Amino acid sequence: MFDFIFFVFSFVCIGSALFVAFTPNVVHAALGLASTFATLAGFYVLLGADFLAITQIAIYVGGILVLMLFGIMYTHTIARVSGEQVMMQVGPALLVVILTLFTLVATILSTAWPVKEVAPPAPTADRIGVLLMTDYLLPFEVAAILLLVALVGAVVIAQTPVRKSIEESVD
Amino acid sequence: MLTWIGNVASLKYFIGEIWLALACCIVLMLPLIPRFKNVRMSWVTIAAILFAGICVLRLPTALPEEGGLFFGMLALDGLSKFFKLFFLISTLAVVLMTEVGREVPDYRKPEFYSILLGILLGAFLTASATDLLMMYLAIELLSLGSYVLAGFSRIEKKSDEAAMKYILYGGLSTGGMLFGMSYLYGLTGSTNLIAIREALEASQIHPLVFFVSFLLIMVGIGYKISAVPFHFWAPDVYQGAPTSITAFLSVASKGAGFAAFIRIFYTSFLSLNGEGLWEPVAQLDWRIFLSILAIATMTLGNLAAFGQNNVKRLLAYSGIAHAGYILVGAIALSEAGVQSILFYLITYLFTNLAAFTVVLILADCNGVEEIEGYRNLGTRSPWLAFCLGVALFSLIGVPPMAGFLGKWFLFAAAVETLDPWCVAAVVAGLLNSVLSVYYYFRIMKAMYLEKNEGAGPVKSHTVLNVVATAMTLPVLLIILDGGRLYDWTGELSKLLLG
Amino acid sequence: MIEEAVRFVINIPFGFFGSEAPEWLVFVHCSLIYGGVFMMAFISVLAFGSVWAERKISAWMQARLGPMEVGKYQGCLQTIADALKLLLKEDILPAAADKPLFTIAPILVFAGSLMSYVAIPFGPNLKVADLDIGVFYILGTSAVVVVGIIIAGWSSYSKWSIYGGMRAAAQYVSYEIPTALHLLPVIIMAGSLNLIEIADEQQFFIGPVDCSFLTWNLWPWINPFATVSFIMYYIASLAETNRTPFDLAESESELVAGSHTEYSGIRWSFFFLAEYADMFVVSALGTILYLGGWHGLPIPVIGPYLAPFFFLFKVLFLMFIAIWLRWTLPRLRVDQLTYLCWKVLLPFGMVTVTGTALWQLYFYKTPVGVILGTVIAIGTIWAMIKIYRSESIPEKGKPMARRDQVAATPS
Repeated sequence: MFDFIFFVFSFVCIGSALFVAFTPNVVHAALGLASTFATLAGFYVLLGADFLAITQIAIYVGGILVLMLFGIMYTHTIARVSGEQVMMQVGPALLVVILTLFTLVATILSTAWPVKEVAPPAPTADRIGVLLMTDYLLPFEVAAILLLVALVGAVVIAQTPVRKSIEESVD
Repeated sequence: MLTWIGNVASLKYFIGEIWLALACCIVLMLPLIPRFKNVRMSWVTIAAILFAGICVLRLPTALPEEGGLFFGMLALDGLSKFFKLFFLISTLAVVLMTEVGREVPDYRKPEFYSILLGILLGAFLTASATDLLMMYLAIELLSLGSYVLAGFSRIEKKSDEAAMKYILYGGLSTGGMLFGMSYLYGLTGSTNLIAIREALEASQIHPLVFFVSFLLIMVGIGYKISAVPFHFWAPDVYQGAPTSITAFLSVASKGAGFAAFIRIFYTSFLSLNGEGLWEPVAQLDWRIFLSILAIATMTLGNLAAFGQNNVKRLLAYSGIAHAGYILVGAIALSEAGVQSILFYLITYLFTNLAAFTVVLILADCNGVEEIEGYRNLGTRSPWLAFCLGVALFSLIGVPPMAGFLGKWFLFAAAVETLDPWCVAAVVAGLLNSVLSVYYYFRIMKAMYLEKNEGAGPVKSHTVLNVVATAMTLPVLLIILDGGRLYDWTGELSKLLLG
Repeated sequence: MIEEAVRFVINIPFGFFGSEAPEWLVFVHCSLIYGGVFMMAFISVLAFGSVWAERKISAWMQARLGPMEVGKYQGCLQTIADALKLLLKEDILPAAADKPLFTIAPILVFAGSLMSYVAIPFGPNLKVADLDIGVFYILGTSAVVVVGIIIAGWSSYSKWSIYGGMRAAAQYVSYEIPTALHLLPVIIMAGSLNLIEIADEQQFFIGPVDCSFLTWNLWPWINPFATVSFIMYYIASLAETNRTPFDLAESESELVAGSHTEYSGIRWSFFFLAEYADMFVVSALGTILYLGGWHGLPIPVIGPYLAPFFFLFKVLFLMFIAIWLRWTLPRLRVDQLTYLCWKVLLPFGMVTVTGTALWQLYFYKTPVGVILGTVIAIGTIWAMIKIYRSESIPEKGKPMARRDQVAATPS
């Protein structure tokens, strides 16, 4: 049964990824991306990583995708975003894509990946929590600084350059 | 077997970084308190940098027992100490340049310094990370801040363009690097660099998958050091970003790229054979690939610099070429190679900062970025012209300057190995040094030989003059005691290898 | 039990060919029956009851005559008539709408709400799935609702819809943070994300009598920070479900009906059902995390059998407060909305999370902690009464300073 679910997920995942690449409508593409993200979460569930799966949904669908949709709606062609799909340099791009695909597939097939025994599904949240507070404490904290810098950076970029006069007027 | 030190016990070796993180917040929050509203945040920043400097200087170059901090996340070794000092000096210069420059308006300086301190922390961690996860986070912290600072002067369209190009290329290449790292993790089952080497040595891994992983990681690092196929962002970003940030990117960011390079490649993809020489892991002799990369980088960088009229852009291409030279030291795969890279980075630090300080003075105080604006600088401002001249001579590698010594050690280390690819790279490096004379001399010619009647004396600022002088003097004086400095870099070129 | 029944029924056609139904087919049918029949039925009844309650309560509170008169049996029939009308109404598809997305959007919204029900336990044994990460799962799946709302707003090709959709999404995304933050104290206290474990953690028996109502997480003698968090969580969850006073996204006076302005008939009713379903989910979450779930009915023998009903009672009580607030408070302005989220709920969240961590270390369920918590609670209430009394009498000729007016000046 897991095989069946896996193939359904794979089919939907790849299908919606292709849809994202080929649809001319940006909003449709964003929705396709949502489907890709969601099926990826499905893969995580199949691998027994429940916490990661929900994180994937909460962050990618709930955060990043919503932000992208927001971005689309703040553009001036708010109602009809369907632009033309301009294809430039189809030949070279196709060559690169095929080469990359070939290399990656060859890589995956030719490698004897070290495979672990399938562990029975077990709760992961507490183990992740413990690891974050012990072995991976430093990356965890650095991620906090990273987010702080990103936050300040976002404000700096979004700020209009004439802010000073307003600040003075408030005083 | 290495002993990993736990989180709490590691803290005493981590005070500098903690202070930087704190200062990053303090600089941001302090202006919100009415009493401190008019305090210049540059003082806080400089204090933070100096304090971190003291902490770094007091760090030992190795732990009492061999091992890493924070359960193997960070290394405490000579290399990390060297790079931390390197970043501190460059950031200090950038802070001074920003404080007196006019590119960043006063009311935005707190944010600027906050992000700069964040970047500095990222650079610190890049230099000492021994775990792929930590390395990725550190590089990302460094890059993310750099994207913002590159687009900091929001009034200029060029700056926006620079930030946009930087972030697009950056996102793609760090994504590629992360993908490569995931392959490496899949192959070896560990993210610790030392454990990865051990796993690579123990197992028979297909060369193809290793090559893909190597290549993808090289994309990320090549982007940071602006090596050739990944260099397209450099000229536009250098030109568009505020000049002080350009200086920072050309020195500290590139240095961080090399730190990551040495850390990942020399720890994971090489094994030390006991005679001060490294050997590539059995799966792949990646030296050939890197030497081709080095030759391409220096040649293309130099050739592209020929037609440039904008000095910042020209220095960007010069920076690309210099990344190529430094890669020559990297492919020597010997302890002398690492040592010479560090030495070269010292010379490059002072040389480039000297050059950029003069460029900043001209761009910021006089609004001149094109070579035409440098005409007659020799009489208009003899001292600045002298500083820039010294820097340019050093970049070429003319004997009495520091750049000469740097190149000398680099090429010597590469030739010593007698590897045909290394020798080829050295020959290319020498030819390229000759090539580069042309475009550096275009600036020299403009400064000393061409007339420019209309232009008055150069406006400048005392602090900037001091910075220019402080950066120029080492370039001139390193030759006096180059040997001892070289020995010092030898002490600091030790990595934590396990 | 359901699984066996499904297997039996599905095997009937397969039996003719002498084979057995594949496992996945049984799985799919079971999921359909759980999700499609039970949950759907529950949500329909819930929405039915809520609409009726909302009408009656509004009538009582605001002296509205309609709901007092119309429909026999206390207005029950009116709701049934409404439901029938919705089913029979013409399904209008605007000509300029993006048809595929317009069709998908209500499904997404409703599916997002429905997904949460998988994780909610109605009683100690009455649950679909015992998820180890229940709380996080419910928070995560609400993301799907947001996408659905944005898509609905965009695909309708109408100004009101787009504004409504964007407002809803912005509100959703920003209030998701305080909601999650104010759930954290309980997660710290229980040390688990599992909803059943969290509920069981609040158990307290004196002999055979279930005295859990004394040890619900919400009480200040258990943890005063959690009390604050409960109130804040409730406020944030009102905003999460777009209820008044946070219903900017569908404010009738400005945007007609927000993101679902262009919808009608059965499609509209999906949005409608999703709203009440969401309300139930956040109330259930609050009940399990702060009100002890199904625990706390002090009846010795039959108490456990009544547990699901007690749980439902608490959830419905929280829903009643939401309805009460709706008919009492006026709608917030956008700046007040963001002010509340970023400057009130969020900082308080940080404080309560940190405070809970410390409280957990030193005072949690210790005699000192109980006394300290009680004293803090009494002191706070006393101080609040004092402040309220002193502030509610403005000085003569001097209007009270309103902070939000400063915040509202355009910048």
